[in-house]
Amino acid sequence: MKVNDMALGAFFLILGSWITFTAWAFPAMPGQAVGPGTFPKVIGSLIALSGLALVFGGGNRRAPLLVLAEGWHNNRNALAAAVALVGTALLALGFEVIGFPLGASLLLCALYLASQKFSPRLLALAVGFVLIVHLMMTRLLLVPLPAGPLKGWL
Amino acid sequence: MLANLDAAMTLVFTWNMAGIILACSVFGLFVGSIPGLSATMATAMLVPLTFFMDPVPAVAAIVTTAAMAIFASDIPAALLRIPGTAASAAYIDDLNALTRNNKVGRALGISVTASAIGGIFGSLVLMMAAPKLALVSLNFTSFEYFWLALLGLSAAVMLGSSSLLRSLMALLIGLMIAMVGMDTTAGFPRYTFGSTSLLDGVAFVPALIGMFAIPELIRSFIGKPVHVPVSKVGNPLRMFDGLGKLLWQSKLNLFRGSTIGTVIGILPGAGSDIGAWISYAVSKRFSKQKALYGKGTEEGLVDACAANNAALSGAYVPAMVFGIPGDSITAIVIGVLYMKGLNPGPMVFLTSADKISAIFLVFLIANLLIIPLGLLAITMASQVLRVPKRLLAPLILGFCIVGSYSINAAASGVMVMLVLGLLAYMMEENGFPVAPTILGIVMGQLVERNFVTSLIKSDGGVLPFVERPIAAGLALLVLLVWSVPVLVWLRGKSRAWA
Repeated sequence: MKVNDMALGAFFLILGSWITFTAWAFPAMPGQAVGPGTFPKVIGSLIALSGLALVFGGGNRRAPLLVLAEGWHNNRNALAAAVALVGTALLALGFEVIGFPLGASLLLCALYLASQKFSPRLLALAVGFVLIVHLMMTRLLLVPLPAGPLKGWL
Repeated sequence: MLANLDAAMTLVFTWNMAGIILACSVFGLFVGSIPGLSATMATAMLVPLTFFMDPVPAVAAIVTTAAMAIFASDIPAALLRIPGTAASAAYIDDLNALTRNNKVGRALGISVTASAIGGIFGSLVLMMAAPKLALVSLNFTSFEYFWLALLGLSAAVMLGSSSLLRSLMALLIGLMIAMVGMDTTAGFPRYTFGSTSLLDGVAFVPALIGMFAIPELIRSFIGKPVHVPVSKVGNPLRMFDGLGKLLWQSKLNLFRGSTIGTVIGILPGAGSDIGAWISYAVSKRFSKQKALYGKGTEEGLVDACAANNAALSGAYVPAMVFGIPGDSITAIVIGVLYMKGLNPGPMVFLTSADKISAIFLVFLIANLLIIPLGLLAITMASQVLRVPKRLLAPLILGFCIVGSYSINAAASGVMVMLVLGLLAYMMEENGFPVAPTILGIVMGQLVERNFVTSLIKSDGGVLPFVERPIAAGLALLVLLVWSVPVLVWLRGKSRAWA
């Protein structure tokens, strides 16, 4: 997903300016000229300047605004990538409710369905892998992974 | 130290100790090779067990686990391009490039040997010169730390094979991410958008996992499902084929990496990850094959792998001599030492000389054990390469989710992994290197804290930043690092600028 250098530079110019602008609102430390805003002002200014340099000195200024990588034009590939990204986001949002064993099993099964030919062995692999990881992490390494609705079972 | 060697050996060479060291080695290798589970986490998990141990076995358990975990993080870095711990992030592209070129055995052979040599070097320095070196490190104030951090960041910008401008911007993105959360001097929340989970800042481990794993996963899903034939690791001893010659040719790199790692490790607050970054940068600076860096350099691997394990030993110098933690692992060790009545400080070398010598001896043993046990771990883990990547990708995503969640037991870690992973994907697609961003996230708070503290000390003045001799020397080094591209640019060789 390549973005035109001018557009990219403009984005960084705006981002840097915003960081610098908001940093002015941070309170200074009592009796000091410096405070929480000092460093963001420096970094924000540098980001804005770098953005400006990219706008005027970027390599692909005449390139289209956005060029998708070849793989994204294949529907099945794009679907698999989208399932991975959106599925992970949804799992993160409902992690405590749905739990790792159920949520991750669903995500991995969906991913195999989206990226491979249907195979019950792959679905069994997904569920088995998640259950083994869950048990290993919770029992062996004492990581408190939420079990969600399967709490009583695992 | 040598005077107490006999007494130390009787404490170390027991069946009880052998069992503990072996068990902790396996545990360290296991945890280190799982992305997201850090050496610090492995160490922290051991603390409850150390309650039931004598002082020397307790510290031995921690030392062994940490040394193995730091090395083992190179295994997923090479096989999957996901660093097990931050220490592998500096040279992950080289490890992975060698793996793609059917040299996985060679890559991990270098890693295991250089790690062991670096670790042994650091241990010997610790044994011989701990008190003297700790005194030097105590002369470091915020001014020196500021310049040291700036030197590390500057080195990261020069590291990449991308243009200077894009490398600089990548670093600034990392520093920007590090600014999120409560600021280190006044505790004022910045750029959190009201999210309480961001008050502590962007969690580093999920960021690390996301920035390396997610772009790889996306590429594996959208790429054509081609099966790249990959060489098996095969007989573990074959990993050493030609390795002796390489290590002999790279003896300077080994010495330099080990020295840099040990020195960085001794400095409080700078651990094996920073040691590896700086060592890799120095290696590139003096290499005749700069173009190979990031694309499978063996030379850079020797430097950086030696540095990260040497730093681990170096971090124990201020911990043992002054009770000042060199990194998060030694902070835990100090707690255990107090718990066991071995209060760190100059007096502990007199009152418990045999125990301290025994602990130092364990360092040597743990680093020697890296080679046989490491080879075993590599052989077992390398089976992963036989599985087609597209089949493996969902399982890797599962591990990434677990790793991101585990570090703080919070789902926000999974979101951080995803968002920063997408950012890294966009960056790589547009020619921005990810390595400087990672270093920016790692060192952002260190830079800011020392920058602001120094400004407060100097009352806003610039001169105190270079008044002290070490600070002036480090400032000069930073100037030298930056003057190289400027000179090149002035000579009209600015084609690589953008």
